[in-house]
Amino acid sequence: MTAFGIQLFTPSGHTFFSTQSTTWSYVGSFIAPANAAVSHVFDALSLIGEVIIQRAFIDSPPGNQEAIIHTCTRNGNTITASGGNVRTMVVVMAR
Amino acid sequence: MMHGITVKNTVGHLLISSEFECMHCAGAAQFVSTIASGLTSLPNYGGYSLLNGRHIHRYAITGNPADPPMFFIKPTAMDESHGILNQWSSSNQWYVDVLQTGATSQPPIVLAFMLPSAMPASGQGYGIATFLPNGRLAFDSRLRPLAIYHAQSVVPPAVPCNGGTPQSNDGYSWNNSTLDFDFNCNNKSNRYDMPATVTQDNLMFSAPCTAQAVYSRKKYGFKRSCSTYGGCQDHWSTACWWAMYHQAYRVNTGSVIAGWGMYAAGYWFTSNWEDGSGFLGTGLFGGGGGSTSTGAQPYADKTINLSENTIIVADARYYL
Repeated sequence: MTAFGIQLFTPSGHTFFSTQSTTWSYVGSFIAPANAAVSHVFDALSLIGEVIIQRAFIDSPPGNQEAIIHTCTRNGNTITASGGNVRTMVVVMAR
Repeated sequence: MMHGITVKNTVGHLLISSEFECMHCAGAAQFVSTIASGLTSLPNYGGYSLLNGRHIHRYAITGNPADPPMFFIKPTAMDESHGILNQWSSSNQWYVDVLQTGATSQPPIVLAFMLPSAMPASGQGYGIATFLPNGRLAFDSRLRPLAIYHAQSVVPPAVPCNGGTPQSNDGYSWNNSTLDFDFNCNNKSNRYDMPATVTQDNLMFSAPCTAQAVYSRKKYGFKRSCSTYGGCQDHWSTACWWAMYHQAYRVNTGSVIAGWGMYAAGYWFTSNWEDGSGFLGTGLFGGGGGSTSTGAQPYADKTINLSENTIIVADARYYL
């Protein structure tokens, strides 16, 4: 048991959220259009140093094309997605 | 920040903040159908059990088109690889296609996570909630917020085929169509450590199939038939097997496996011979040929999107 933190319980008493085991927090997401760069500002990132990004196909049948997904960079509280030829969902997590 | 709530863990990682919205469990997405199944052999070529198999399962859940949910896969077959191929919205429904490897179709449970403001309020009267400065609900313990157990940037090996990079070679006998290459991908993966406090049976993960690849094996055959009268007739053949792959994942107790799953495959064959009808006026050798095909490969041999992407792992027991 840690000396501080937070634990949340179900009505039956089962722990479902504990700062002992939770590692990353979801900050937000956006959709980058095909063939265009886009930047998105997450104000919350000004509070946080470490970021991890997940990219996923969205509205893009994956079987019949050379589908290039966007790549992402972070500059301060701005996440930029670019270089893809398909719509890309960008999910930002931080801790 | 003048007021609000911030929760950090013991090493200072920010876990809850009234400055941003958390994802919350909207329940299991409805299984729609298995839209593709099989691939235990190369279509049109045969060779029963040449391939390990793959299945594509489709799920749906009601949701705002402007707020894409995060989907988590809780495998039924924990030792098979899975991944999210694609998600899209239509008429206030979000759909997701999930890739599963293996000879047997075993649709996983798929859980959807959404912003709490898009979910109906819980009837429970206790817990903890945080709100953004604009009053929008950001965190509500009654709505089962997403507790991320582990997140890891991973990448699969560059070439998915168990047999390595397939070649295109000549020097084979005419009409040679014997496959001599292992297109399966179950032995091609990279392993990453993660904490082992949650056992494999309780893990679920969100992991997109972004890296993809197409590879083909070609055998060029040749025969020259020569007459005792001094003329010759040439024969050519090409046999081509191809497979398309998508990145796929497994989780074990204490590790994440980033590998591949087969998505599609095909075979085509051509056989031709030159017109020898003029040879000494014999008319013995007519030119011609034939072919068979199950469709062209989607693009030339290569791996694309081979860069690190993030798998998010959580404890499924909190949400099932």
